[in-house]
Amino acid sequence: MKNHKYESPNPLKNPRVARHFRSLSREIDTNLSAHMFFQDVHIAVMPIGGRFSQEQDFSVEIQVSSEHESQVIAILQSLTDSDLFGKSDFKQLLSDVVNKIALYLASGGRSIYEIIRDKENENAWRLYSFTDKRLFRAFGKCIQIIPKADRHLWEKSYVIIPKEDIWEIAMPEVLGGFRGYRSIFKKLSRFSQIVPSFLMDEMSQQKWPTYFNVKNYEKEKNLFVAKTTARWGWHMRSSGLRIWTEFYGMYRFITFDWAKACLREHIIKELNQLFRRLQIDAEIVVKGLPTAREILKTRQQMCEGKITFNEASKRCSMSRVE
Amino acid sequence: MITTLFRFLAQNKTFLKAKSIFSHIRFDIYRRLFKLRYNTAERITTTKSLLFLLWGIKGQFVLAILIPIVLEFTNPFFVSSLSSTWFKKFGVTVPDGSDYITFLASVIGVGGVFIGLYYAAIISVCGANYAKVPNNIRELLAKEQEGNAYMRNLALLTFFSVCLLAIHIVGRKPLILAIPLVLVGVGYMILGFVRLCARTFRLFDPTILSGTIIKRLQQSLRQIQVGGYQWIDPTFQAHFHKVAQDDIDRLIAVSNLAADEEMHLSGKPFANLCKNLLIFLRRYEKVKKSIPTNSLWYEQRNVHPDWYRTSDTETSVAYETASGLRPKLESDPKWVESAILPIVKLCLEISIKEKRYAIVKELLIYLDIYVQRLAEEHQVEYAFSQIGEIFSWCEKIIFVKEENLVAKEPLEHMQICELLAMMPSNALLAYMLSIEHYGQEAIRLRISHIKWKSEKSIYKAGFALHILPQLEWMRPILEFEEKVEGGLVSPPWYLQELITQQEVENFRTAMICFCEKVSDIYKQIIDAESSTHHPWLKAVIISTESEYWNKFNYHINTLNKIWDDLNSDQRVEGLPWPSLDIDELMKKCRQRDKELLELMSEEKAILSLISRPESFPDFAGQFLHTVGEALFFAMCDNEFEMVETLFQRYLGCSLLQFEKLRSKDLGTDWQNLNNLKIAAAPLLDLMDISGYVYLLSDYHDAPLLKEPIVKAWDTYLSEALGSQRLQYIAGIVSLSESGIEIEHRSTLRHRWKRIIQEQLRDVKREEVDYGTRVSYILSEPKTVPVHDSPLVRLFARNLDFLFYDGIDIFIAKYIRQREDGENLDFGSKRRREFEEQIKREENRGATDEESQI
Repeated sequence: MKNHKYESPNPLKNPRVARHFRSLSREIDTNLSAHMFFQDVHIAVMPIGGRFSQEQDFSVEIQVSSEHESQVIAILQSLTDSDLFGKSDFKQLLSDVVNKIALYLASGGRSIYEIIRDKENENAWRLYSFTDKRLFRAFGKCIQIIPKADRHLWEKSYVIIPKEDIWEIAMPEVLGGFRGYRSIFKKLSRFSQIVPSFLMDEMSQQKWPTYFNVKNYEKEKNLFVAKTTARWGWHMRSSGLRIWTEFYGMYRFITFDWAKACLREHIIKELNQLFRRLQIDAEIVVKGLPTAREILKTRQQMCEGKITFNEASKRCSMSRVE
Repeated sequence: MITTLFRFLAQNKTFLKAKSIFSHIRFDIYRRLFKLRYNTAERITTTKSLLFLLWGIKGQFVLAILIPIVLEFTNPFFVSSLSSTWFKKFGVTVPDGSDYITFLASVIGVGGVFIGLYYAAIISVCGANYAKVPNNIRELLAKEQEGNAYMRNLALLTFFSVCLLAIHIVGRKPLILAIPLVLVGVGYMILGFVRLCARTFRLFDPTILSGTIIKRLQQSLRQIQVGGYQWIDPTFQAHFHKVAQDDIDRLIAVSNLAADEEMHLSGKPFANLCKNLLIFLRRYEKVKKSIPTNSLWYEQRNVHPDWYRTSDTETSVAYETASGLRPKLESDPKWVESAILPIVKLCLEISIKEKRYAIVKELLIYLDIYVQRLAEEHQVEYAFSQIGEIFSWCEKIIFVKEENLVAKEPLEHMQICELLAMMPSNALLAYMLSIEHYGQEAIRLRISHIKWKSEKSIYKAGFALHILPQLEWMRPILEFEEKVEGGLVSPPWYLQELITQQEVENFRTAMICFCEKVSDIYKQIIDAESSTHHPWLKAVIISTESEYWNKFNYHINTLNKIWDDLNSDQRVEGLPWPSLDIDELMKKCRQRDKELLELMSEEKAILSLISRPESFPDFAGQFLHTVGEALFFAMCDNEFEMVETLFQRYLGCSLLQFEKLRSKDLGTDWQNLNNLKIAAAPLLDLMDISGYVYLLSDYHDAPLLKEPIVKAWDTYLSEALGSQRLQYIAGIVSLSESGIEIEHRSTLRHRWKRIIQEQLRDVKREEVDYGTRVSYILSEPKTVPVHDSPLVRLFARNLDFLFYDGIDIFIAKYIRQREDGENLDFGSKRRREFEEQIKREENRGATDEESQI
């Protein structure tokens, strides 16, 4: 693979917003279900590193005029942590960008970026990701209030930037939108994975309460997780194989593939809209990956018994190998 | 929403404690409700018992009522005239206080005496028969329903009288209406007491109490099957298991008592107990599919799970508490059968030993019906294991080892053997009747009726017992699916496939039982008979086994169709479908069929040497006929091995049969002549078969096929008396075919001829041009057979008018070829024309060859 450093033509202006607030950072969530769900949602929304088992079918095209090409590359590079990608590695670059945005979306349901212009060239942009905490909208402006504890770090107490300088992307409505996703995440994080905390306390004292039924608790826990993530069709990393049929397990796997395809298509659509907003004549077209519509069709065929589970899985998944 | 709320609350210790307390309260309420229901049901039963008792004394009762009623009609006259001089003349007045007291006192006295007498009788029965019995049987006596009902009502009447008396003592006037009421009550009690005392004598037989135990067992069964009160609650299930276990223990104790020689109850009373038990078991097998397979009704045993197959939550808890994984309970679904069937076995063994054959036969019929029920319910494997067991129960006693051949067997032993040997056939037929309702379409229909959220639904859908574990596994996960998705996502075809797979598994087991296990059972019993020298019993089994295979062959097409139907729609990859090589199974069946024919020909030789009583079936004749048929078809199918195995014995047995039939002296000449013609039938059959082998040998182009036949005849005729034998045979043939009547068994031989004709239709034919004149006369073009063998050509020339048969061939091809047979006369029917025809056909063949050259 050819990697080469892309030289930015102009120096950047400084970002105005504060990227994160240390004082508001939560401790790492220890809930296993929530953590696994978060991981599964963002991993491989696009093929990791642009590599896909059916490589010959997968392609990424950017329909852009030569004058805007460097602008598009610069915007996309700013969305990744690396500047090692160029036009020749566009497949890899876009995969990385989409996966990165998916990561931000998976962690909070939406992702917000400040659009930064070049110091010299007002028509060249970069995107700068920052936290959505303490961010308010009023009178066409976005106001970020910085917590006291973090003011010494950012050397300001608030930031006001015009709405036009903000790019916001949220979970697609078909997957419940920002609020729906946050609600799922909250619900999953609310309960500990193994057993209730009081039971852990009692167990540490070598006691076992007679009123606690492990089997029922396990069943209720699985039901809760499955119901909460039903829209996404999360497979609970196959832990549910003993609580559902092989068919329903496969149904959920495929539904989850559909959800991730929706997410991918949504991110690419939003990127294209951003280009139009910035008056860049460019459009990203991804081919050879299973689309949400195709996945639904495949799922329907599987339900009707027209194709086997293996065939359905092969058609829908990027990660599962036949 | 509710799931979330419960999940939230489940984190709270107080909530779980409250939930636990609520469960206890709920259980307590259900317990009380159950007690109420149970008591009500028991009272109804008790009342029924009383009514039954009253029904028995209805004649006396009606009479006792009618007389006061008639008197009542005349009562107004008596009342108006009560104070008239006419009544005073008879001394009839309104009773005064002392008379009233005396009347009631006597009623009370009678009541008291009766109560005392009844219990005295019971105690004497106890002392005589129940002193050394286990306590649980004495308990039964104490709980005896009819007596208890009577005693309760007698006590009520007595107490009622005491109350009337008490009311009068405190100063009230006599209650006139009470007099007839008490009178009726006393009437009941006095008449009923006589009947009750008579019944008490029957209590000397403890098996009479088994009726009550079986009723209780049935009650328990009703409770634990779907729809019974709290049938799904493990506590209730365990309770009824305990009740049933106690009842079964009592039944075992009663049966041990009945088996005791000193009690003299091992005859009919014990048999009746066993019959009732088998009837109960039959019902039980039908009801079992309505009982959850994990119900605590079944006996439980501990099974320890694999650590790495157990869920995270359970292993985490086990690790934290260092307590290890708790063992899982596994049900024993056959605990009732395992406890009850030994009782029947005991009764059967005692009855055979004591030569109570009527009881043995009756029990075997009941056992057969039970086994049929097992097959109907698709428990074929268990049914056949039970048949094997029943065989072994009888085997030890019936097949007593004898040094010499048992020439005469008790007829009852033969009947018992036949009943035993018929069990597999009956099981097969019962299975065939039920299997038609278990195809793909039936499964689909049943699934459509299931409501997966309902715990009852899967048991009411009508699936067989072997499907229940699959349904029980599916129900909670489909309920889970419904709860998550708001409806069922798994499509009907998928559910159908999961269930069909189980059905196929069971069907496969059944097929293996019908083909292999049945052979093993029959082999085992035939071997036992051979080693103990019981030829008649062996013949019964061989004959019945032959019937079994005949039935099985008749049904094999249906079984094949069902197998194909069940395997027709397999969409889920990787589902472990059982495989079954039906061709391989059929090969085994055919092999067994051959073995059976060999056994028949062996057995036939032995039976021909023993004289047959009139009451015994003619197995020798039956086997000879069967072997003859098999031999003929083996020749038609060019099965050399079979022909080689069977013919030598067939020849010997046919000649023996002829001699046996011929030896009967019937007095007059014409009767003896007729007898000789009948006796010649096996000989003619033998010659017919021996002749056809020449034709079929040529037809199949297999010269080896006729070798065993020629060799057997050569051996027979090469002995010192060979020429005489041949002359004798010629004489018999000539004599038996001399009359104008149709020969005995000629229909059968004619059938063989027709089969040969049909087979010869396969011979290649070519058209012959006879000129226009002949073609005009014939509607179809004239054809002639094309074959190297003149014999085949001769027979195939005109298939609609075949004048010759196997006997003709045998005479021409074998006897006439011998020096001593060239000039023998076989009568007017067997003229030399046929030989000339053959020669002509041979010459025609030679001319054709020359012209071709």
